[in-house]
Amino acid sequence: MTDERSDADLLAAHVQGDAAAFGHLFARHRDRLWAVALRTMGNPDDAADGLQDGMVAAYRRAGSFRGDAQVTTWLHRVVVNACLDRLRAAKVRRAEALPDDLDERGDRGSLATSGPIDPADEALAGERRRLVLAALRRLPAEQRAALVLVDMEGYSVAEAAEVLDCAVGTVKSRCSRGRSRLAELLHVLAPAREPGHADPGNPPVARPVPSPEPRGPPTA
Amino acid sequence: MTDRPDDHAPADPGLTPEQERHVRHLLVDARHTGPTPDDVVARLDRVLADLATEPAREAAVVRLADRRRRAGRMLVAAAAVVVLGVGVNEVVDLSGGSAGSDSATTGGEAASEDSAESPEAADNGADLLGEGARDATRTRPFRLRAEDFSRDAAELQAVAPQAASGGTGEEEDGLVSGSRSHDHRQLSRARPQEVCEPGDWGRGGLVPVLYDGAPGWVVLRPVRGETQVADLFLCGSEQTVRSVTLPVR
Repeated sequence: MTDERSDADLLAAHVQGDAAAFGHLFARHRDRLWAVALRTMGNPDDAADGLQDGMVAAYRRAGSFRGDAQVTTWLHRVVVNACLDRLRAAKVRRAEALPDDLDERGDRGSLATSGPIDPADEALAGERRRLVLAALRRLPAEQRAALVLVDMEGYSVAEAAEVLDCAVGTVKSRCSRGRSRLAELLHVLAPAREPGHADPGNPPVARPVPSPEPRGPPTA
Repeated sequence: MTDRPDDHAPADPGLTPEQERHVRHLLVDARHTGPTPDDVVARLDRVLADLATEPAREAAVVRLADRRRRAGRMLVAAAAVVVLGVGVNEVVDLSGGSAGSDSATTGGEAASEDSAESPEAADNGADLLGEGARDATRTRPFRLRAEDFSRDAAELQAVAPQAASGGTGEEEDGLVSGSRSHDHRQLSRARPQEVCEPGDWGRGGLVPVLYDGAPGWVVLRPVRGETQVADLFLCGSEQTVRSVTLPVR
């Protein structure tokens, strides 16, 4: 059963003792909060822990919400801080090795394709996403959180600054450094092959080189 | 993705605008758009149900906070000494345990641990009151526990009002720079293993701590709206080790 009350009304009702109000409020925003937790933590198990921490913290701190920000911004702030706290506590800045095929691909070209991706090629798109997420996990937590909010979730820099409880300039700086690092990791900086250039490999021969001996099954 | 030019930092010299756009496109493409998994939803619902069975904690927490504030006022001199860096000698153990409104533990665990008016909490308050009143120079690092960091940080915020407010009025905007908040002469009298020079960790009130026995500092950041961030730095490190968002008391 959906609840039609506004976010602020639900939060106020929770503080007043409405046993179901917080659940309705959190369910309303849960999927987006899950997406933020998942991309910030980098894996579903840690994301579930971070989201739970954030939910419990928001449940208990609801009485301190004074309406200076949107309820959804406040919820995101609590969840993101819970995730960042977990990351810092576990000192999770995993230097996960990129898969060998990425390193190999890096020698031959970059992920900067010269044309639009065929939307029907789900396998390629899925692989690309996997590589992007692996690279994202290698960023410092603060840069990762900034990019998740701004580039993935579409928050403005000002809104992200509210969520992350830092200055707008700090968010911009973290996004800029994070994008630069991702560009390195994903070989976006490698020069894209210009149209008309031959594919790497042996050049086509002018004429076939004859075999010194006839090939094929031995003749009787 | 909404492209807001005014949101962009000046392009990093290492990235062309086209490269930056491409990286942002890759990130948008990797956005998670699916629903919360059913098992996660079920888990959150269970935790919510446990939270709903907790006794009314708000009033009790407020009463406990009031008691702490009274104890904190008697420690104003000591707390100011902390912020100004005078006399860091002994350890204040806040591990008596009490209702922490900001703990992010599971509902079940918290319900079994918390007691809003525990005698231990009362003793901590009285003990701090007594110690602070007797010897304002014996300001001691607060003891923080890794497993209860959020709760201990909330208690630290309550008993260090000067640091929580960001310092004395003499400082710019009432905030104490991390590099100017201590007295070298006084710090030299503290036990070496319990204190160190704070780093340049940005604006905020500094409180010396022992984090599971390791010396460090908590920086209470400027209040923003209804919340205040507490960042933990350990001696010898420039990285934030723990961080928690606390409600403003």
